[in-house]
Amino acid sequence: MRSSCGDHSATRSPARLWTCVLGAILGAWVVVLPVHAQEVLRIPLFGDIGTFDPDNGFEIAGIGVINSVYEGLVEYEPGSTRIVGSLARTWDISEDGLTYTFHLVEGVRFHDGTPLTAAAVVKSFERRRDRGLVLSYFLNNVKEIRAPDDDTIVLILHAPQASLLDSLASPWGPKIISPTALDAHDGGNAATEWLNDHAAGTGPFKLGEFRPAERYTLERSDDYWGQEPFFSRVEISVVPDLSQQILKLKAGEIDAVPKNYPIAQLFSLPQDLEITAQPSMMQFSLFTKPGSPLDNPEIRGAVLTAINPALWIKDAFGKYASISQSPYQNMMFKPKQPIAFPTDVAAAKAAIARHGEVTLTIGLFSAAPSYGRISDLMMAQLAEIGVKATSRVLPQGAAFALKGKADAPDLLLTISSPDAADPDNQAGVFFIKDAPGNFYGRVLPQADALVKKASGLKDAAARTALYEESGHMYFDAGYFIPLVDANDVVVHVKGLKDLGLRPVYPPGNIDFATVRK
Amino acid sequence: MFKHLAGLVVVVLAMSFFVFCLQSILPADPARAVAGPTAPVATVEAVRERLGLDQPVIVQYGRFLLRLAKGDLGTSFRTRQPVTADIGKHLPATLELMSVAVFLGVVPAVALALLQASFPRPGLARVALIGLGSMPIFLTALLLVYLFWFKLAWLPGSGRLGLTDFSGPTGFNLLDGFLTGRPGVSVDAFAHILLPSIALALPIAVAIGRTMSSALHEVMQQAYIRTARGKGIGEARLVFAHGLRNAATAPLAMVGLQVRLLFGNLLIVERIFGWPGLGNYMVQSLASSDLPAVLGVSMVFGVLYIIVNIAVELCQSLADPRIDL
Repeated sequence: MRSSCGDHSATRSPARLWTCVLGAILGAWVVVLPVHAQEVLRIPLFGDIGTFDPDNGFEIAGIGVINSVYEGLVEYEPGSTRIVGSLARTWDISEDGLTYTFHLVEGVRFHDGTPLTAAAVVKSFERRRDRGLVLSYFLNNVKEIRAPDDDTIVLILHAPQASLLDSLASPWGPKIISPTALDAHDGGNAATEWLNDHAAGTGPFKLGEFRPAERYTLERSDDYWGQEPFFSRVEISVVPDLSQQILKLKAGEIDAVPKNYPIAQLFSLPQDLEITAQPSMMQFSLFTKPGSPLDNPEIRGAVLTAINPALWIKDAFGKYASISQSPYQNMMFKPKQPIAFPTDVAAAKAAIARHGEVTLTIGLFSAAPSYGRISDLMMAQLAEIGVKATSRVLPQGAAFALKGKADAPDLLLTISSPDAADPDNQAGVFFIKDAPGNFYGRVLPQADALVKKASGLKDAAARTALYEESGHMYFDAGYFIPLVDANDVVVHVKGLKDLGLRPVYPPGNIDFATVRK
Repeated sequence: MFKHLAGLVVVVLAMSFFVFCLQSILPADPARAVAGPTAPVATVEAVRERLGLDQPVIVQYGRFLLRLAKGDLGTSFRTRQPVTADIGKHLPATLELMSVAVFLGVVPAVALALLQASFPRPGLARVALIGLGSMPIFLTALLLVYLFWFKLAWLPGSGRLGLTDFSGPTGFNLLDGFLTGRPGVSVDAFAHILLPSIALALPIAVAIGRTMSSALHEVMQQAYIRTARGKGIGEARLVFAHGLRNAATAPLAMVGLQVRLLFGNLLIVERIFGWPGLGNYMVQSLASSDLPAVLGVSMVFGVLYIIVNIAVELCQSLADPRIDL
């Protein structure tokens, strides 16, 4: 008689059954435990994390690291712009859109052992809003923060703001810090000094080492309230040079090159590497200077024909980008009527010929290779219709000082990427009057009025329609030309899964809580 | 010496004033860099006020001088730490790298010059050295990384130490390993420092080697050398006892010049090798319009340059007593 667990004809005694169950458990323990418990993820950063304080710095490359340690009330679901609960289990919004009530998850503790309560949330929110910290503007519209009981938070707004949940879910949105740590390290500076290189959050990882210019380490939090991360430790090394990052990945010293991997090399990767790509909010776009040749509608039409991204998107990005359908990112909403570039090249040539010599200068926001690649391709297309275009890289930060400058380039090629996924954030950062990224300071009051009206509406479809209409207005007026929405492309060792890339995050911010082998 | 020290103060003050003026004409806005690209104008203005950047440049400079008198270089906009603390953290790594690079540059340079003095045609070594030294520094650095780390796996390609749990009393890992009774640390540190220091040393070796070689060649043609040779003094003794010392002035001056170039090369080499020194710190600070940090590092480099040049002049006066300090 064969004696095996799978042998149904075998005599089934309780002892044998228990032996089989124990064997299966032990087998699983032997196979799974060493892998699960001791896995280390090694990721490079190009530069330092300036500050680990979630309220006091606009960290870009390191924001994913910070958000592995701290959590907010809500967050974006990986791979989408859908808002889901994080420390808030559920929430309600009042009819007038002025009161938001959040119900906290139970049984959460900070890494220092302090239990999460509504009072802790109030303390963190007030710290961000009232202590002069850099990211206070995320709560500018919050009039009152209340904790009616231990598990409930109420936010009362000055004015209805349909994008409030997005502001809270933003990578830079408010995070909850241990009140014990805030009290212990306040030092008259809202604990900003201590929180520069220490942390006390509720996230799946605790901050281990914080050694600027060298490395940062995260250790899995054993008491984490949510799903336990696969990796027990994340080692984040500072490797400023891209060539070094690529060599390290190929040599097996790191597990991923999170961003900037040269597009041309993506098609000939070694067999032990693979790519994870997700749509992102990185929209390459052009801002136009008032008084440039593009103010003439005929020239603008001809130039749009030549720079039509359909002509060069494959050369610039391969399959890792899509043509922008609106001044609002493709991930924000799908417009009913996407913007359209003219396609009649002969007509464009004739139009330029009628205007004699047309010259254009294109300013590049930075020296990053993608800008140069796009401007080279666009200049080649412009030459085809007789426009003489040149490009120059602007000095660091110069794009923010172009307003009113006579020698500013005719076009500014930049990435317009908002800090949250709501169209209100995109318009508020790039289009409306006095928006920080409205680089030439152009004003279109009719479109701005639509944006303002949309920001207070609760009806999502009506809001989207207004934003779409405003987008057409900014484009048709020639203020803003969206080109392509680039993907977030991470090159990593084979077998790495569930990277948790989120469109709103800056590229390459892997979610250490979801990633696994 | 007093003259040199007074010069040091003047240079530091002039340099700091220059960097302040530069800040007022550059388009980069430090307040925007701190607040982030999406921050509303009101937030940026609040940050500007908090950092004192809303004041006229001359007022800012006056405040800076007052702080400087107390040894305070301000707070870095990027790291939010006192600049003196940041510099203290990164300076040992840079000094260690510079010292090894200068050593690795000077020793083969002197050896090459001596080789040329003894054997007039060591062409191959000279051509090889000039070839390597004339390559752009970033290319040399990348080639070294590719060959000795990636292909051959003989040496580490980046970082300062393979061990993660070490922190020594002086910050100089080569020394601290021995001081703490862990010689393995020093060996590991030496392995890590070799490639970046070789990248930095090559142009130094070529420049000093060529200067030394010509100077030595000229000295060895002098009448007193010919007389000594006629008296039967051996060639080795002639070179070491009479030639080297008399030929040292020009190469020593070249060391001073090379140190200035070394500061520029540090920014490239530290970045490629992920070396946690002042060069790397400076590159990131420049990218973030972090004026206090840029100013602090510039002043440290300025002071180092002057100290090295004082040392060079001391050595020159020792080699040639006619040179007055």
